Amino acid sequence: MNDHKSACMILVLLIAGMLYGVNQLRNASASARTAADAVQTQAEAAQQQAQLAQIQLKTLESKTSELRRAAELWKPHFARHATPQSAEQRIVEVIREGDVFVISQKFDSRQLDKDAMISEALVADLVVEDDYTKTLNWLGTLEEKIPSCRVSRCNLKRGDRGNDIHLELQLQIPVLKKS
Amino acid sequence: MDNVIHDIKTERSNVSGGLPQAYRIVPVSFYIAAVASLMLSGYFFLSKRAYENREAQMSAMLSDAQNQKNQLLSRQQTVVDESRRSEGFAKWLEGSHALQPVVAAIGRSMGKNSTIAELSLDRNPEIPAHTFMQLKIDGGGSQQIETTLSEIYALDYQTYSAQQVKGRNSTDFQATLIYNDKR
Repeated sequence: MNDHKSACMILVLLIAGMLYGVNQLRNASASARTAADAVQTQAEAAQQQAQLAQIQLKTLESKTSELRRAAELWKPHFARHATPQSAEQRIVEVIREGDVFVISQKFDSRQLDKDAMISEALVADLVVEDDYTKTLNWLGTLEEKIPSCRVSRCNLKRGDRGNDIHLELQLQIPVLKKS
Repeated sequence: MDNVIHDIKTERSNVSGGLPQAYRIVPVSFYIAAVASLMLSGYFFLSKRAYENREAQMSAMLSDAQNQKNQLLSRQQTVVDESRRSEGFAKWLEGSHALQPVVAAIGRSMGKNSTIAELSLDRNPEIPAHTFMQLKIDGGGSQQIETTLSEIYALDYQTYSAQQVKGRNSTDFQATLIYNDKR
């Protein structure tokens, strides 16, 4: 092999090297494009999901706004009794203010439905015997002053004296533990 | 062609014979390859950089969109939790309508020949909105029951599964009361 042929071989190798280099760069560019396209697809999908989430949120807010507004109004009444003791105290206060004759009173804390939002309640069993009008007014006042209370049983009979009535009452007051 | 091939050679005396005709394509190809390589390398390099920039922009956009989505989902969860809590309140309140107006209305409905012997209102433990009413009236009969029911209906209650048993001088009536919120 003479010098010319050697030089040609070297040039051929250089050409091959340059082509290889260009091809590598082309591959790198193609990879970068693929990666950019993939991220763009992901970004567009994420934007669509964000828009969908926004629509869902607005729908949810508008669907539940009335319920949540009503709950906000009632929340202070429920939050007032965080322990069975405070609920019991409240009933005792209403009895004292009403000045009705209580034959017996029994308080008990009871688990309701564990999974329900209101899972515990103070149950009060009261037996009252007093004047008909006074007792009924007191019952109304009780339900008014403790709006979250539930009268679960109300038995009414004639009392022992003239215009008296004998009222057996079972009350439930929800106990909402502070979360 | 000779000029093209030899233009970068310094002047020297020929020490060997010229390049064979067929081999002359090699240096020409080299020049072409060199120029093309430079141009293509530049093009691919710039393209690569542009794609990398786009990828960075898209990554930022993806990150923003995901953050926004996560915030919205978190707010959705808050609203769902609030609604669940509100439903709990509503469910409780649905079964907690005041009973005093019912008792008072029944008392008011009694005519001059009738008296309440016994009145019992018990909420259904499973469905507290349903109240089982048992009423025993001395005197008055069916007419009195009708008057009493009219007073109860005026309070937006409906009766369900009503039964009436007439005794000698008393009437037993029982029914389930369901509050019907017309507002």
